Amino acid sequence: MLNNHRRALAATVALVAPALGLTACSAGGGAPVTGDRGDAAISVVTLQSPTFQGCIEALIPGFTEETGIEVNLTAIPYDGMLDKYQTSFAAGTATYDLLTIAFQWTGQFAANGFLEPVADEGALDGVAQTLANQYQFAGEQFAVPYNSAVMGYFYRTDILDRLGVDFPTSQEELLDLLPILENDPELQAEGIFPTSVMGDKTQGMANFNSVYHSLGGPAFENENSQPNPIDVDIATRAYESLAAQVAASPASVLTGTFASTPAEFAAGTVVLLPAFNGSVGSSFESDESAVKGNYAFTATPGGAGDLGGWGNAVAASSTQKEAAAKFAAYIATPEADLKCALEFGKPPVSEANFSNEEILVNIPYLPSVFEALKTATPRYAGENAGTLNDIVDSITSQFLAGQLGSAADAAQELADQIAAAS
Amino acid sequence: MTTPKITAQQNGRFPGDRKHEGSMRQRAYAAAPWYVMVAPAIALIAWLIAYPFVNTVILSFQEARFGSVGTSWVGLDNYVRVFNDGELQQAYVTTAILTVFSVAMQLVLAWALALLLWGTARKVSTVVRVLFAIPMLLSPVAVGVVWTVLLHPQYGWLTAGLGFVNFSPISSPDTALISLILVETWQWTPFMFLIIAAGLNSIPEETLEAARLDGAGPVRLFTSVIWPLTLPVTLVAILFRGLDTLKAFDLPYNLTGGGPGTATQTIAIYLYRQAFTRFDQGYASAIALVTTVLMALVAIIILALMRRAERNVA
Repeated sequence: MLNNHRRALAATVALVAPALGLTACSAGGGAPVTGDRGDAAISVVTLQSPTFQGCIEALIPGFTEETGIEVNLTAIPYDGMLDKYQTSFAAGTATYDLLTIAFQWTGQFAANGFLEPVADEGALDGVAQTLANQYQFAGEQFAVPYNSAVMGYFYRTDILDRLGVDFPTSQEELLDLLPILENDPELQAEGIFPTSVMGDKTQGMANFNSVYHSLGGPAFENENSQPNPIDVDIATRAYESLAAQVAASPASVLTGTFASTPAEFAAGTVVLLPAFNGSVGSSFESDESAVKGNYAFTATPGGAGDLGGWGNAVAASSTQKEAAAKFAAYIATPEADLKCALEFGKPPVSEANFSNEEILVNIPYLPSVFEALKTATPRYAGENAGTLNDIVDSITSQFLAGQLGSAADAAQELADQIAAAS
Repeated sequence: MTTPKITAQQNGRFPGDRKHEGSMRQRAYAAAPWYVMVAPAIALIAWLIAYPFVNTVILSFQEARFGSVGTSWVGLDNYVRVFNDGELQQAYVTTAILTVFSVAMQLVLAWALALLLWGTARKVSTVVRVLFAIPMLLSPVAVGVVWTVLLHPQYGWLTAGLGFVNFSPISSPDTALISLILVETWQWTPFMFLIIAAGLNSIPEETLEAARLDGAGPVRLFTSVIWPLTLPVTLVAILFRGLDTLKAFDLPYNLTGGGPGTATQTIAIYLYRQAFTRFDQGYASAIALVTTVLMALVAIIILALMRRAERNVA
């Protein structure tokens, strides 16, 4: 009987000890962190990419020296990033103090109280107003812009010059230009395609947003971040335009992404490239580029373009809000912005840097980006943005794959689904 | 009073053994240490399996947005959506086609390879088996990325080798699913081959010899001896690959992303989109549960066939 007692006691101890150990470990997670010198330490998470991770890493020593705040940086890949953020927010603990967020996540995070509003207005000093506006929700600013991104067109100046045509200024002119390029014997002989659309499922919104608004479509959301109805007639014309562009693209068009189509342009096999400036950076200026010195960038024909971009936001559950906000503001200062643009090809956010001579050596088309940003249109960024953007992605990709019938059918389906989800 | 030196097991007695008399209280007391020992495992199972399952069931009756504050009960609405969602039904059809055709091709190829190595090239079979296993050892993510490059219309070695001009089988809605089936077959035929080869090697030589002495030719030997004896093993391979393909996510996600359009969108990809792009946890939970039931039915059918095959062998 005593043996049983001992066994029971041993088993209980064996169970309780690890449990206490685990509890002790987990209890440490939410506590404020301090650096070696007793100053604040913050946990920052950003995108696993040289223009994000590399830039922020390079800025940390200067920031720590200036403020005494330690920064622990984590970089994660884009795939699954949103899941991780949501999980972290849902857990209610401050896994990260400062997060790099895509602007379209602003509303869904802010509406649920996951983000801390930007308290220091000085954090936005010098930042282009268009970029700052991207991170506003319900009248409050929730992030400091990290980079600038707009979908426009890169085009081959040498080829358009040879053909004696100007870059189109409307969707109608674009559709007129495509057959000219398609039927040019020289381009045919060299295997050069008129265009290369990012037709992948994940890029449906970027394509549709640019064309729909270039044709005069109303903004996706009103000033209260509530969805406006889709104009079916304009959406039909947008889909007709996209279908014509897809027909003039290489065979890989329906799986083309922001990474693959710029590579085609850099290889010299495409004349007109609808793409984000952020996914190109200074790559067309490299020695391997076949288009160096023979290309330019401009807004989407018709004027609008899908607005992209990332910003740095402070988590509402952070115990180091002030320190995190300081770092977000530091990254956006003109000096830090310039350093990252020069060393890592980051598209700047400081208005002055868009015309900085040093940056223009590597990114000569930057002033055109600034102009395109002025007329760019945001995608859904409100509380239900995840669903609404996915609907546009899904309907657009299904239409381009020939699964939804005519452009009018697809436009109606889009309008119905957006209305149902609104 | 002295402490008994003989433990319950040494004495041939086990906790809860009804043959041994004693009060309920005494039996429970004696068994307590064992229950305590088992408790962590049960707690772990409850935490990792039971809790998520119960939570999924609860979520499936709710309007629940991941990361949002608050949920509301919606009754059977999410289940009604499952049966009215055209895109989901398309995903079921795509997954069924992918599963049936890829598993069938794997089965035929695996049998052909296993018989080839079992009969004529048995001496080199060990080396060849290892070589055949390589695709199976690769991560489906890596396989998806590699095949995407191989099948690129402009830079792909395979498209160039096959003489495709401005055509990529993974970029066309008409051929993307066929491409996915072929890549899935390329990766997982070795798995089925290894199982079937093991089944073939387990057939007693005496049985084969006896059949040959009775005058059985190669065809009769296969249909009357080899096939019936290896059928249970074959069904196990079909069960493993069938259930795995019904859940396919990583390979299609990395090869085609479910596109073009919805041409290669499997149930798992659609479920992922609902849960982690649209954050519709309630609907995603309903899809998960309905899919689990369907997969369980498939498993039950195959297991029933296995039992029948085993009875026939016996």
